[in-house]
Order: sequence, then structure tokens, then C-alpha cells
Amino acid sequence: MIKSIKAQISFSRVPVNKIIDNLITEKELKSLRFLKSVKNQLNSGASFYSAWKISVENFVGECGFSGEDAQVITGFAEQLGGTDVKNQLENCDTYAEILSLKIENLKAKSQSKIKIYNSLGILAGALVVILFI
Amino acid sequence: MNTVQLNSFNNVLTLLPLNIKNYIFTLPEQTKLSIKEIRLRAEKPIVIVTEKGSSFLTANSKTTYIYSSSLPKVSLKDLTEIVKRACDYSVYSHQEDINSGFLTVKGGHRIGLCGTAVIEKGKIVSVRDINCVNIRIASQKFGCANEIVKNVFFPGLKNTVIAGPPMCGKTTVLRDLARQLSDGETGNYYKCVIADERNEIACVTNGICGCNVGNNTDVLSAYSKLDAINIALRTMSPDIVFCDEIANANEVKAIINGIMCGVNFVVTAHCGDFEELKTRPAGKLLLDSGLFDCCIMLGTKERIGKIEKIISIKSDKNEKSRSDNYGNNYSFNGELLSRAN
Repeated sequence: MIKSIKAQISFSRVPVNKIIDNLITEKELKSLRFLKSVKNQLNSGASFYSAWKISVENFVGECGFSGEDAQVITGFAEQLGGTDVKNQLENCDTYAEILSLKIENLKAKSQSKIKIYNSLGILAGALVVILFI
Repeated sequence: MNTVQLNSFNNVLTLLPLNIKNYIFTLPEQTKLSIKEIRLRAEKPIVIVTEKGSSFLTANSKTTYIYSSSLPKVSLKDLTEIVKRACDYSVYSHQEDINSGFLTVKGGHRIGLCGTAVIEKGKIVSVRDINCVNIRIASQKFGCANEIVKNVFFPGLKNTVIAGPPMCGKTTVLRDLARQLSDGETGNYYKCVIADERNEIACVTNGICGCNVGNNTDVLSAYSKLDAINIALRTMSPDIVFCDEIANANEVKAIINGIMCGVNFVVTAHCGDFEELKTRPAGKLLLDSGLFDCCIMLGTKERIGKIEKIISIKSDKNEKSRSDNYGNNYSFNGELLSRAN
């Protein structure tokens, strides 16, 4: 999502309300249902940041964000649209990096959990065999 | 106020924070209809400008010419919010306009901005602490170019300068002229191109013209006049090109080049009167080129948008005087000697 936002700002200086319209149509972002809520909030006259913040808060569970993830995503929107192109692109890079690190951490956690589950599975199997014996 | 005017006015109200919006929304309909500008300055009262002049807005949505410290005031925060809304919360996509001191919003309304310029290497790179916002309400006046079309553009296109002091209606008349020529109101549909450097003629927002400039008109919005003229000549094969506020020699040269390529031009220029136009560098170049057919001076105050004079400027050294098709008589140096009865 951030990559797409960055491209639209960098190449065409697309305003944020149009960016949201474009993001909603992207197949890969269909699961981010808070985007439609952002659009509805904007249409009803809310400022961009409050539209984004309210929508992320309302769809935290549905989109699978943790509380911390929601804070990061909300923080990204705080800067979005408020400064010149150079700072917007830097903002996108910063938050893309933060979210990448989060994804790496999650992957590492899930890897270690897989190992634990495998070990538990082997132990459970061994216990069943012992019980039968 | 008809529906179109009301919708257009409401576009302006959506930009305003709730407190300011309410003061203006509850004004009498007749007052709202007459508003030309809404001027908002940090820590100062709200000012509305109508044909009668500037007045302050009171807390009970009335207007007064008398200042008092109890008048509701605008905050810096209000102004920041107005600019953000006018930019669709995307300052970066309007940075050039902000640096140039204006924004154009849906409906063709223009917002003038004053603040503190941030300068880098002698160039404005951004503006901070915006402390004054002047919202000019767009009002397209259909038919305001009728006299010009009748007196100048029958039977065909003419290279024309429309001149006058600020706020005399040059842009409004230029816009209506483009619309009429584009829509065949002279009997022919002309291919019109508008070089709309400051987005004041067609008022394009999100790709759509906020003002009606005709069905046969192409708009180059936000391009410099030089670039717009070159692109128009190379790619749009126009019959006529419209430019607003010609101010420097390079622009005049590009226009002259365009006329030599067989394209007609209608341009506007700032001046107090025809004598002043002749002394201004760009005006002098335009008039001395010998390529323009006439100069139309517009009136002010009660005569805003009305023709004061049509001056023939295409000179023939053998002529002492000549008449146009309507019996108006001109001297050799372009002075209108007499109007037809």
C-alpha cells in the first residue's frame, strides 16, 4: 500500500482523496477494508487524518492489525499530505521500513513457533506410543 | 440565488471551519448572492466584499462598516485548515500554486494566499504561517462578451488585446469570448485553446473545467504561457488561442510567433488606460508588432466588463482614417474618432 502511495505522489502528485480511490481498486489491497471507510468519511466532510484514524480504529480486528500496528498505520497518515513531495516520499520510506521490520519480526516469531509446535507434536506422538506400550 | 449559483457558493462554504461557515451561511440570501470576496486574516474580523465595498461580519450574521473589537475573528488555525481543505489535504500536489500565492478550488473559485515565504537560492520553495486568505467567488457571466463578438468577431477571427485595470472583468470577458467562439455563436465552431497558466480562466480541478469555456476548447492548465503556446501550435492546431495577463517580452514573442503561424490570439493586459498600455514593455511590443487588429478597453466601477473603447491598432500608413463595418471611424494611429449612431 505504501509503495503504491509513494508512486502516486512521486509520479503524478495525486491528492490523497484520489489516492484512496485508487487504492480501493487495487486487488492486492482488497483485504484492507478500512480504506473504503476512509473514503466514506472523507465524503462526509471529515479531514483526511481523522477519516483515516477513525477507520483504522474501527477495522483493527477485521484487518488483522494489533493495537501497535494500528498506531503505526495511524502515525503514517498524520504526515500524509501535509508537506512537500520530498518529505512525503521520505515519510513513505520511513513507514515502509517500520512495517517491513514488523513483518520480519512476525515471520521470525512464527518460525520459532513452528519449531515449538513440531517438537510438541513429536513429544505427543512419543507419549502415545509409550502409553500403548 | 438559483441552484447552480447556490451549489457553487456552497462549494466555498465547505472550505470554511464550522464557526466561520455558520456566520456566512446564515447571511440573508441577497447578501450571499452579492458576495464577490471573503477575506480572512489572522486575528482580524471576517471581511466580505460586495459591489458596495468591504464590510465586517458580526456575530449575529449581519454586516457592518464599523470596526469593533467584539467582531468575531479568524485564527491562524482556521486559515491553516482552510488551506488544507482547499488542497484536498494534499499540500504537495498544490505546492507550485501555493508558492505562486493562489489555489483554485472546485467551482472555479480562486483563493489568494499570503504568508511567510521560505526562500532557497532566491526561489520560493514553500510558504509557511499563512496569515491571509482571500476567497474570490467565481461567477461566470454568460453573454458578457456579446458586444465584443458583435463588434469585433463578425465576420471572422481577429487578433485582439483586451485591456483594463485590475477587477474590470478581463478574465470574465475572455472566458465568455472563448465559450462563444468555441460553441459556434458567431456561426462557426472555432477550435479554441486556452493557455491557463494560473488556472483562472477554465478553473480546472481534478481534470474537469469548473467554468464553461465551450465544447470545442482545449485547456492547458498550469503550463507556463510559453510552453502552452508552443504545445498548442505544435499539437492542437488551434484556430484561436486565449491568454490572460501578458506581462513580459518572451510571452509576446511567443504570441507573435503564433500569429505568424496563422493562429489568432486574444490576450489580456493590465493597464489604467490605452496610453499606459502603449508605455508598458509588453503592451508596447504587442501594439508595435502591427499584428493585432484591435484593443478593447474595459470599464470599471459601474461599467465593469463593459466596453469603454474599441481601438483599431492595425495600421496602414496610407490611411488617414477608416471605418469598420458598423460605421465606427478610426484615425491612422488607432484612436477611435467616432462611434456609429
